[in-house]
Amino acid sequence: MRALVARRLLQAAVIVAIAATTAFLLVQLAPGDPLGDLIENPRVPPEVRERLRARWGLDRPMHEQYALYLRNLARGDLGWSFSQGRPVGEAIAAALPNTLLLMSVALIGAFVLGVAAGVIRAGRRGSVADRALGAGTLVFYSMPDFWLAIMAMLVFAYWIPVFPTSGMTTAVVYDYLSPLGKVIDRLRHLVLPATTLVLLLAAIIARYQRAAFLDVATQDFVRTARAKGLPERAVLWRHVLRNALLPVITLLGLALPMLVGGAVFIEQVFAWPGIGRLAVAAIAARDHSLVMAIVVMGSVLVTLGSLLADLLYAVADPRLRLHAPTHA
Amino acid sequence: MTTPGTGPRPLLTVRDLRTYFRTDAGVARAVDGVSFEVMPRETIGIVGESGCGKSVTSLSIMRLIRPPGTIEPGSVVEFEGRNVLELPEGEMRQIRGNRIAMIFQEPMTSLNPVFTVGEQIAEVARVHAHATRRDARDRAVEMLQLTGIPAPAQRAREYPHQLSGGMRQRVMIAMALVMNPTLLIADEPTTALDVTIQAQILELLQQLQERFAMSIILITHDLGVIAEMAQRVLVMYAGEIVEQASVSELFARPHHPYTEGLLAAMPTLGAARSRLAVIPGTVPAPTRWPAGCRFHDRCRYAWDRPEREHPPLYEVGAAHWSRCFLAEEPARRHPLTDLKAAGGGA
Amino acid sequence: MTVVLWLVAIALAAAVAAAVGRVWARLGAGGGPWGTALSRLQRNAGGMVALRFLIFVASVAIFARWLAPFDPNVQLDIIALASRPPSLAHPFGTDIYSRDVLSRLVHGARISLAVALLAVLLSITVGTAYGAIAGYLGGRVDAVMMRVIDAMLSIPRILVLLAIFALWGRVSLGALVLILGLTGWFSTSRLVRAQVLQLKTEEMVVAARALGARHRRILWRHILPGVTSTVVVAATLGIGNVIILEAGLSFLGVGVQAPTASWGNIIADGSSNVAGMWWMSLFPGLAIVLTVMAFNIIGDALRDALDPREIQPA
Repeated sequence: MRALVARRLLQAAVIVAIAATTAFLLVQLAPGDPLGDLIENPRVPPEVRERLRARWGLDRPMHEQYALYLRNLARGDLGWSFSQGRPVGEAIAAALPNTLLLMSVALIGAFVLGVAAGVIRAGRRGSVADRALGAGTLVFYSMPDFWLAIMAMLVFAYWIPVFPTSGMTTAVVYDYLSPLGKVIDRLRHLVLPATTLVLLLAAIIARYQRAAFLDVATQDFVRTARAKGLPERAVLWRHVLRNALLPVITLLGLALPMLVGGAVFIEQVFAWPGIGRLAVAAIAARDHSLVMAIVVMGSVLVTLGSLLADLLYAVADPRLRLHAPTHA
Repeated sequence: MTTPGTGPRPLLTVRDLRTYFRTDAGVARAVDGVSFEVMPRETIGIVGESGCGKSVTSLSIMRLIRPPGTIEPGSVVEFEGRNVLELPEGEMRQIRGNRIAMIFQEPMTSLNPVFTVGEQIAEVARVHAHATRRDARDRAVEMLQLTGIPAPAQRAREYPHQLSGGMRQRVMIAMALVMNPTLLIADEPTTALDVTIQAQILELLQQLQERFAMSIILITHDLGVIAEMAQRVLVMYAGEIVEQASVSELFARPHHPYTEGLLAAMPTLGAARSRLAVIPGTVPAPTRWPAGCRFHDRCRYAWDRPEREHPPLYEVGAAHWSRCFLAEEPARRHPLTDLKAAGGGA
Repeated sequence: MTVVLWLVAIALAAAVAAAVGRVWARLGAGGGPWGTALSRLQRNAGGMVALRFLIFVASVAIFARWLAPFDPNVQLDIIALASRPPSLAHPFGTDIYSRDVLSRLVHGARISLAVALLAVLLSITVGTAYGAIAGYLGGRVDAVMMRVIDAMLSIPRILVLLAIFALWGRVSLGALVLILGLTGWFSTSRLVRAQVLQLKTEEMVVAARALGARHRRILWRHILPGVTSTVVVAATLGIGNVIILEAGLSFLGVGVQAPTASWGNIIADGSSNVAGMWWMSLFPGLAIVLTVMAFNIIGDALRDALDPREIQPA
């Protein structure tokens, strides 16, 4: 188990290093100056420009810049964000918790909903429930994230105004609310963005879960469970589901990139002050260092997620947790 | 074709069992009109190649046929005086794993990989005897001990992949016998095991049969196993019973050409069998059983009649039945030696 | 008057769809593994409805110039006709510049479908080549090539795209296709590699190698035909994905650039006033959902047709 952790950690480090290098190469290949608008602004005097270039090592040869970049990255120094007027690390640290809140709520909701839908579909294959859930899954699976967000906003914030349209808190009023009122206000703001993300991710999980479930359902030990006289409920929810959940744990690793993608759009639509919104703002301002930092951070997040998924898998599957036959 | 006489009532009566699978390729008549009886404490063997309907027969008795398979109306499986095919699912569940238990060929894939073997055995006591968690666990250890597994308390906490094949089959047996069933269906219980382990498992089954006073339906393609274990044999081919007799009668006077073939294909100690003795061809697909006698295209004696007509079961000896026209036209059975030569030429 | 023209046009497109459908039905009657798969596909009712719908959308896209009731980029009457809700003359309303949304939607179909098709064509070509080479060569080369893929897959695609647009700024349609295509082949290459690894050990290839066939010949004659079905399914499902992605980028203002209409940027045009101009997001969004759904249904149906899971008795 320890060897597995060590090996996977090393792999994760390599993957992040390759991703960081790709980000660096992208900047090098790009037209224009990494300092972006700041350099191109004619009102910035040339000597200031040169000083800035020297300050960030942009006057050095490429390989030195690369070494510098990696060293800074390893130290956690992500550079200066010109558009935000503060260190990149600070800007990210301010936005990250909001995104993580949204993503973790969505992840939990989506897994519960997705697994349940997948199991119900597989357990009653061909029934009305299977078909209805199948159609629903397909619709949400085929839906652009931002459009579902817009539609949710249109219906539940404008036409039937039960939830606020945007932000994490109600402006001004929030400061005068009681502690409980503050929590409720935040929850009300969370409902629409989180539900949107849950539905989109649950559709993906349900598709996968149904296939995994049907795969397990034809295996010999399921027949054994039935031959023991177990009720069908116990056969499906205990014997089949425990095994069908294993591949879904792997999906956790794959779901993260989609979750990040979804967060970008949903944060944009609902003006949720997270990483996705920060990224879109950074593009608009052509803030290279902030964009690159977000890319590398996204990669770290996803790699950590799949690492976690692998370890979870190893814990959940006794065949990996314990080694091969010990008794002849 | 029932056992004559006025002895004890049979434990299990199967009458005209038909199990069909409606697939895209057509209707597969996997079991097509099978009838037999199992007496209390008796071991009955069912032999035949794979695809003959042996396993589907046993799964039908347990009502474990999954869609698209169905047990056709008119079939009867009478167990302890009740037609189980007419029981509601809830009552059927109380029979499965309790009154009738089953063990399967692949002890690796037949056990759930994510639960300990102890949990899987205990589950039977929990569901049928409503035992407490602790009682069920104790019962599991007790059963493991009964099947001759050393250090049973420790083994109970292990997962299937940590055990050897023979050990896993012992676990399957332990699981099957928790509730002291009156009928055990063993579907190829030793096929996946080494020869030495096979013998141990068969011996264990015999001991436990004595102890629990069970009947056993033993499904196998290995006549050697039948000879060792069973009192009576059913030979199945293409979804039908083609011959039925006591073990001694069948080995001494096989009647059906298929049985002859199976016996000839049996490896015997000391004498290397010629490969020519093996029955030519394979079992046809269950969607396309041949017309007439279903065995005619592989039969060394076949003539025009079995190509057209479907033979009934003939009583060819004491409690000995055979589904072959040779019962009417015995002269058509030529000596086996000639045939071997002829077969070698073909 | 425009309504009548529009109805005639729809009828025309439907007729084309029906004709293509008939040709298609005849294809399924042919033999061979693909013929069998086709006839199996044709028995999939949902798949056939989806296919007809796609043929309809494609016909609309191809004949957009004649089908669209108005010029998609002309401001009809900025004072009298701006931001009008759906009416008989403008069934899907008009945008803030008084352009006809239906006409923009019809022309947008052209752009959205073309971008997605070309991008997917590019990504499956690159992905198949990369995966086939990695799988065929195996060993250390394969290990290195696959680590690179792992790394690429670890970066969420949307972030890479945003980074590229941040660095390069607004791009032409050709560049957009290139960028979408070159960021979408990683998972395809993985699928292809897995398939090639399996095929490599199969008898035919082993025999071909034993007979001294050259690498290129083995790849072309034995391995690539074996991965076709995997690639076709991946491509079909990929098109839906790219349509969504392009719409998203256009929504953020970095994809297809104004005044060219795409389904995504029509929604973007209305996003400043979602409540007041609901028709700007509803209709293009429905077009996206239905089209992507059709691609996904066909992708699933194709997968089922090419790889039928046998239902096992008991």
